[in-house]
Amino acid sequence: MSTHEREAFERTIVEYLDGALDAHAAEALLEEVNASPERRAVFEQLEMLWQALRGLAQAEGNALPAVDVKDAVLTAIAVESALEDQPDLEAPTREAIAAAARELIIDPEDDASRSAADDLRARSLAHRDEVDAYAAMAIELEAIAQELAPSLPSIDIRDAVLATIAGDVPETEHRTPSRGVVSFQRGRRHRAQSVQWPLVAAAAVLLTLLGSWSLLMPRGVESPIEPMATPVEPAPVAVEPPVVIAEPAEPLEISPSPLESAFSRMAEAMPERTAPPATVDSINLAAISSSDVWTAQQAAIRDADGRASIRALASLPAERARALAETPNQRPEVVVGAAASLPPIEAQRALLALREDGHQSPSLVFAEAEAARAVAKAEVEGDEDIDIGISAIDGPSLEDIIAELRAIDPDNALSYYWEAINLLQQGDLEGALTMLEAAEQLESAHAYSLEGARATQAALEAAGMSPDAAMAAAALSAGMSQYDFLTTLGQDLLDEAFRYEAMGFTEAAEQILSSAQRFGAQIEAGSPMSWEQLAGLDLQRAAIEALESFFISTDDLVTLTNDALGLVANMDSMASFFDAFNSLFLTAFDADFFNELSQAILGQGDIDFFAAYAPAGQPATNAH
Amino acid sequence: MTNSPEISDEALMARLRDDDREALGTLVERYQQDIFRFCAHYLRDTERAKEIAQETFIRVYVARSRFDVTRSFRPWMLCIARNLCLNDIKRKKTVNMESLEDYASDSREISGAVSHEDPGGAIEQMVADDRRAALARILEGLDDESRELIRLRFYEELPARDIAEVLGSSEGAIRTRLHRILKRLRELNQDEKADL
Repeated sequence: MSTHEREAFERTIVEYLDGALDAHAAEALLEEVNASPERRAVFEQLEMLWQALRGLAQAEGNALPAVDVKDAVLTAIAVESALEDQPDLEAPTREAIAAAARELIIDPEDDASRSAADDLRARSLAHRDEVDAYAAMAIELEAIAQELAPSLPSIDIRDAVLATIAGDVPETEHRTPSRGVVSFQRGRRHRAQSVQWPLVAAAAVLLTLLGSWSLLMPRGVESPIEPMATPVEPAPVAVEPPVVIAEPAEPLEISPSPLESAFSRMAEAMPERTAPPATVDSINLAAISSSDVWTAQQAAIRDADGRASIRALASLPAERARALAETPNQRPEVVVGAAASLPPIEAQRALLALREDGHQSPSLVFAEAEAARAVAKAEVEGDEDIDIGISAIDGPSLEDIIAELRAIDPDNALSYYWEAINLLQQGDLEGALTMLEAAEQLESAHAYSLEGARATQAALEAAGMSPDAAMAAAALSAGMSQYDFLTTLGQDLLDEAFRYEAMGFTEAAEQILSSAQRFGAQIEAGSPMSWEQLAGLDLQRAAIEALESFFISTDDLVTLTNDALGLVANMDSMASFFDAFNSLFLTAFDADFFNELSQAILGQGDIDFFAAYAPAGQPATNAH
Repeated sequence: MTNSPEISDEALMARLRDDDREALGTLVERYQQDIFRFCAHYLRDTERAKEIAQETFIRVYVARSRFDVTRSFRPWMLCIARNLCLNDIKRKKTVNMESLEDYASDSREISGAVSHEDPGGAIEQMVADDRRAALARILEGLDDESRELIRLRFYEELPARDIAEVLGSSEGAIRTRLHRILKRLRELNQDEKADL
């Protein structure tokens, strides 16, 4: 059984044990089990575990003493109802409750406060939940403070909290007696309604804490990711001091979103950081030197046009790429590199031919899947760039190619997410969620940027570029196209979450967004290339921002805020890397150093360059 | 679940909405053991569990007018009990993290119960006890959310749909999580065997 088959099979067994299968499906499962020793073994393992859990539950349940609370319950209700019916025993006023609540918040451990609250609580069933809600607020506030305290200086949140509940309090229409007791709503929506005021106060605390954090951030470490182009932002030549964006000393404010302070430090909507390669139809590859690449990189530090130039140097004119791909017995890496410069349908055909010749590797299958995806997208969008004169490819479908990629590279979560997106787009929510869960279990994801860069080098060299220039152009453009691919794929995943949310599947949408966040973290963890890692950071940011609207409970918001703060730190770290990397090109061209640098990048990626290799005069810093 | 089995929970709640307190009495008799056990698993304190069980029924009474009689009563009630338990745990801030097995042993001492199975097969009983002890240890290797799901499914014997109601999730998500937890348990079980 493949991993996917086994997942599906086990899930069916669980449904069977849970009594969720109808007779026909159960019979089919048992036939399947009886027909295969391997499946029988899996079935028996799960069945044995299921029975053991039932036995344990039964044994522990039997061990508990019996209780009888009927009389106590009925007596309590009778007494309290009688008290409420007494005309001369006024129910506590709203002001009295608010006053007691304030005391509870200020000093939950104070015996007098506790006693007053208990007294109020005992006097009326109708107000019991009001008092409980404030008590819960006090607990939540303390929990939040404890959770965030280790990374923060001491602050005084009392005023913020008291300001929030000042007015004491809600207008009458918000405090009808029907609010209060646990209401039966689903999930987090329920919590927002039944414990509304504690959350308002908790949000105020979060804002206060985040505001403090924002003010306390050291100057000069602004993420270069925030101004969209900054990964390669200027560094205007050495005489000028490094760009320092001073943090405005604004007063703390309460704004609608507690995470906005963190988000403001990240990039705006998932940006097009890279630029598509400039036209290369007339480029003379043989005339390009590594010095030209060095100069282009200096331009790339400044703006998007410069980055487009670097990518252009790492591309081939379509005619040249076509000639390379069609050359008999061409080396596979040359074909893969050349395919990146071909129209998608031609690229797919070239890569399919390569595989039909018996060549097989994860990066090759990935390249084929990427081409097939581009073809499918172009067909859907009616892209006129698709050469109508070339008939459709009679090869495996995109789904089949992705499944094959998963089979030959099962530890890379990329193909799992990719397949989950396809399943979501086809409406198979159940299958997609299962696939996403499987994806999340893995350690890392990447889009083969290292192998892609090596293929680019091979193709450039085969097309006539000098070995040094080919190596340099491939190294400096490494990961850029993978950034485009991963952010587009990530956006597809986010779009599916929003689509399911719009259809009312909020739980599923939240799961998908959480998966997208995890996907970003896996990319960040799994790629040796900075541009790929940047895609992971951007995807996490987008997912966290979207998740904010789903999370209402303070626990979730605290977790999300911590995630956001961690992400900001990682972005700052990445910014430091880009700063250090760009600074390498602020000096005069050094051919030997450039060769060593390019070799190092094509050997093991750029992200660990400073850790593994620190040339004289360069700081041994590292983004991670 | 002894009294008035012919009257559904939801019908009793409809009566309770008309202030028929006997209906509440019937519901208490029907579910007090379940709720007590449910609370005991969260709180690990039988006295406190008894108090919260009592409070749960008072909340049921207070909220009677808001119960939707077209929905199931039991998950609604368990949702109330769960919220009370979680609030209680937060309020005390000191959760007794003794293992399920320790807890079960203590409970057996309290109740004087030794075994509810055939007393004749002493060796078989010891083997079964050992297996249960091992499984209880393995359960402690799970996170809190997973243990809660195991409790709801196997201790409270709630179907996935009702668990979804209690936890505010979807039935599909619950099944997926259950599947994942079983896989994890199986792995932990294999690790435990390897250690032995």
